[in-house]
Amino acid sequence: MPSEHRKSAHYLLGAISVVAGLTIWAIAAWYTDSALLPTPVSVLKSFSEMTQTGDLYQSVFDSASRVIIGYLIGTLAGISTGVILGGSKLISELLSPLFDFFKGLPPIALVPIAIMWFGIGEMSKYVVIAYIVWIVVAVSTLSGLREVPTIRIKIGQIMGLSHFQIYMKIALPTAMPYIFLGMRTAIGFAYVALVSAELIGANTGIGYLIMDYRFSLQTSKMIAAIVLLGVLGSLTQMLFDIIIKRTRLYLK
Amino acid sequence: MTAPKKIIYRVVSGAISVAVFVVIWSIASTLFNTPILLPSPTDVFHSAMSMLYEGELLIHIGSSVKRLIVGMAVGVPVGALIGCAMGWFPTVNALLDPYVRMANSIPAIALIPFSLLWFGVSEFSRYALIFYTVSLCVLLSARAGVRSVSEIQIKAAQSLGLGEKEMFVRVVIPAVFPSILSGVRTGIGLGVMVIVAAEMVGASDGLGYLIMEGRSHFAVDRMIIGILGLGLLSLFLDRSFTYIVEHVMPRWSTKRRVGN
Repeated sequence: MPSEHRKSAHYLLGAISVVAGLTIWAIAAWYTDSALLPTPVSVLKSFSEMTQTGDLYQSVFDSASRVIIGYLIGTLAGISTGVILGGSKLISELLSPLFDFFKGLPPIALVPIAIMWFGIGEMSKYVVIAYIVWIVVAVSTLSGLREVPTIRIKIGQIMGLSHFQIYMKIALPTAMPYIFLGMRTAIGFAYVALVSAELIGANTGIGYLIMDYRFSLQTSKMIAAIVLLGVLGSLTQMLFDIIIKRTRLYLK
Repeated sequence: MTAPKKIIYRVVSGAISVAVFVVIWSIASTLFNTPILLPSPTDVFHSAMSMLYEGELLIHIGSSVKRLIVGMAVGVPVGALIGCAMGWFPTVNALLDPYVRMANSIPAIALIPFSLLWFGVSEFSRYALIFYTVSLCVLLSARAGVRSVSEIQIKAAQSLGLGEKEMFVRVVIPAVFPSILSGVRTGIGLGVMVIVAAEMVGASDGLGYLIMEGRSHFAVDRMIIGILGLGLLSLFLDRSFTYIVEHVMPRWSTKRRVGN
């Protein structure tokens, strides 16, 4: 009972704070140039305007298909890289500096060269998104395989399983939670890569809309597009969590 | 493993990683045979050397690092302070939580147009972006750190007669510090990501600028130098930060030292 009470107090305070924030924003916007800071109401209006023209749906569709295709390719590549290299502890440890290096490489740095190599079309976006997803998933798969308790492997040996069987039946299932954690983190990175690619070189997509509205000084639409991007990202992660929960994939 | 053995092991694994990378790269560039799109490792090495001699490369690296340091110097304390307050006082948490959630769901890169709009193409707008990214990151880990202080520790301190203030200094801060440090580490990585993005969209120096400038001159070797430089810089910062934490202040390391 007390925890429930505390929870409702938490949400009440949160709501008060949001209302206060919106009021401060509205007052500040009243005194500022609308190109710099539009009012909350005008942001809402712009959003409904954007939904009426077909542009928004087209952009959301384009961005979503980039994320989905890039993410799927990247996840497949990441898991297979992890599974192939993770079979040998020696190889995975010797190559770990290479993966650390690529993990630290911001995907946005690769956008210009991806455009040069694969053209300004969809391919370069898929490549950049798939790249970062690949690295994140591969690294987490490898670290999951490295963390398998020795005792489980020993038990497998005692039971007379072959090396391959131990790998498939013991090591991989134990590493599963790590792989899913990596896949979840990769969603956030995929969105970062998407925005990077669309800010620098694209003619469609939400990132392009944000940049386009900035140049045309339609700040209220820009804010609406930024918020929409955040909402899409969170929705994707929530969807992932629900799927994982429903299918009970975390359980071994 | 003993210490010297560990160092040798690390050097060997590093060398093998570099070798694998360079070999794959040279095979690819030989097969592809279009130096204007994919120059060979030796070509890139030569132009990197000449850029290093002329001091150009160091200028770009220096300005990226400077931006990162300034943004972090302000962002880390602010993030740690707000994060601790949010973790310790439920009211503060309830008030700020909606904003933190929203900020956390929007990639910082999407805010670049915003900062350009408000602060112009200036040094300040880049500092603001790094500050935002790093403080948010440190805030989240500081809050999680305060929450992870176990009730038993607090009860024990209370029964030993510690006042509220002493409790915070003696119990809470030591318990939170490792999480703040790991937040700083994540913040370095995200900060590099954001600084590059900001430099690509509008700057006249820095590694992000080097990549963009290479693109407009169709100088792929310069772009590759920028990309590799970034990866190395981020790796170097990360490794040196972990090294400093583990050797200079081992007490605060998050690494559990089992068997010591």
